[in-house]
Amino acid sequence: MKDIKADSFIDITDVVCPITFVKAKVAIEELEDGQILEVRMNEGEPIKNVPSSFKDEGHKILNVINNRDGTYTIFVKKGGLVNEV
Amino acid sequence: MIFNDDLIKTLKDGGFIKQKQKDYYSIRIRVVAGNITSEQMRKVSELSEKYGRGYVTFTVRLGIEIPWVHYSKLQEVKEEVVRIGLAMAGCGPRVRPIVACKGTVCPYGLIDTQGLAKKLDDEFFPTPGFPHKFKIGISGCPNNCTKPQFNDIGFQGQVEPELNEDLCTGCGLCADVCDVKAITIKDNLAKRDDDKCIYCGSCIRVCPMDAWKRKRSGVAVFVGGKFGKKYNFGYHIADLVDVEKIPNIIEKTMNFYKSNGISKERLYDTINRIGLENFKKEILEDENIN
Ligand code: SF4
Ligand code: SF4
Ligand code: SF4
Repeated sequence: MKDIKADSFIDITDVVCPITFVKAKVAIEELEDGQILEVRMNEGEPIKNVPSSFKDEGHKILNVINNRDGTYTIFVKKGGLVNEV
Repeated sequence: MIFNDDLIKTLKDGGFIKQKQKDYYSIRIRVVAGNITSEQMRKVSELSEKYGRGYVTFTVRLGIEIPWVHYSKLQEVKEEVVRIGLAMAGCGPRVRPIVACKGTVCPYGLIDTQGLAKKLDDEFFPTPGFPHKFKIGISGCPNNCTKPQFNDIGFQGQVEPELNEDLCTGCGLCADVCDVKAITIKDNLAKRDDDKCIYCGSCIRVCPMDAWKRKRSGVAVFVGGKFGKKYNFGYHIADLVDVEKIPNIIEKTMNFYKSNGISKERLYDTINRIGLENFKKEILEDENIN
C-alpha cells in the first residue's frame, strides 16, 4: 500500500470509550474536506468502534496499520465517503 | 382486612404484588420494551406520591413498581394506570412482559428489537393458560445484554456477512476484531469460517473498505431457558431465522407447551420429557430453517 501523508495526527491511546471517538472527532473537525487525519489507538474496543464511527459520519478510512505493539494507526480522509459518490 | 368480591377480581387480574408488610402491595406496571413516554413517566411519579411513598422501583423485566399501596386503594390505582395508557403487568402462569434491549438505537444492534417487542406484545401479551410462566426475551446482537438464553423463548439478532473480494485489501482488521477467530487472511483476502462464525457483524462494522456486506439478517432462537433456583441456558435450536417467522415459532412453541406441559412445569422440563429432537421437529418443520 502506498505511503499516505497525513495532514494531522492524533493519539487516542490515553483515553477510553466514549472519549476516544470524541477526541478523534474534534481532531477531524479542524481539518478541511479531503485532508487526512492519522489516528493512533489501542486494540480492543477502540479499533472495533472508532473506524466504524468515522464511516458512519461520512469519512473514508484509507488505510489501517497494525503496529504490533497493541496499537493501530488509521488514516482517515475527511468527508471521503460523502464527496466521492 | 376485608376482601370484597370486586377486590378479589382485581387481584386476580395480576400486577399486584403482596409486600411482606401487612396490608401493602406493590403495583406492577408493564412498560413495553422499556419505553415509556415522558408524560406517562410524570403520571407514574404522581401516582407514587398519591398512593405510595413517593418512589418507584424498576424491575428486571423493564417494568415499574409503585410500592406501599394500601390494599383499599388497589382498584383505584389500577383505574388510574389504565387512564394514562399503561397496563398492569401480569404475574402467574401466563406470558410475562417481553424484555428487549435497546438494539433499535444501539450501534451493535442488528434487528429492530423494540419494534419487534412491541409487535410481539400486541400479539401475545398476556396469553394465559400455560402450565407455568412463559417468558420472551430479545437481544439485538450476540452481546446478549438482555440474556435471551434465560427466557422460555429467546431471540438474538444476527447477520450473515458476505465478502466482496474486489474491495478487500487484506488489511486484516476484520480478523483482528473477530472475537471467535472465524476470519483468516490468505493471499491478501479475508476468509470466513462459517462453522466458527457467530454472526455478530463486527467484521462488517469495522472493515474500512466496506468489503464485508450484510447478506441477510435474522435471529438465533433459544428455547427452554430459565432462571430462579434451578437455572439453565436455553437450547440453541436455530440461527439466522427470518424475523418475520418469529410469531409463528412462538405460537408453535406455546401450543407445544400447552398441550404437552404438566402443571407447574416450565418449558425446559417439558422439552426434556418429550425430547429436544421431537420438540425441534414440531417447531421448525415447514420453517425451512437450519
Ligand atoms: S445486545 Fe447488542 S444490540 Fe442489544 S444493547 Fe447489547 S450490544 Fe446493543
Ligand atoms: S477489514 Fe475489510 S479490507 Fe481488511 S481484510 Fe477484512 S475484509 Fe479485507
Ligand atoms: S460476523 Fe462476527 S463472528 Fe462472524 S466472522 Fe464476522 S466478526 Fe467473526
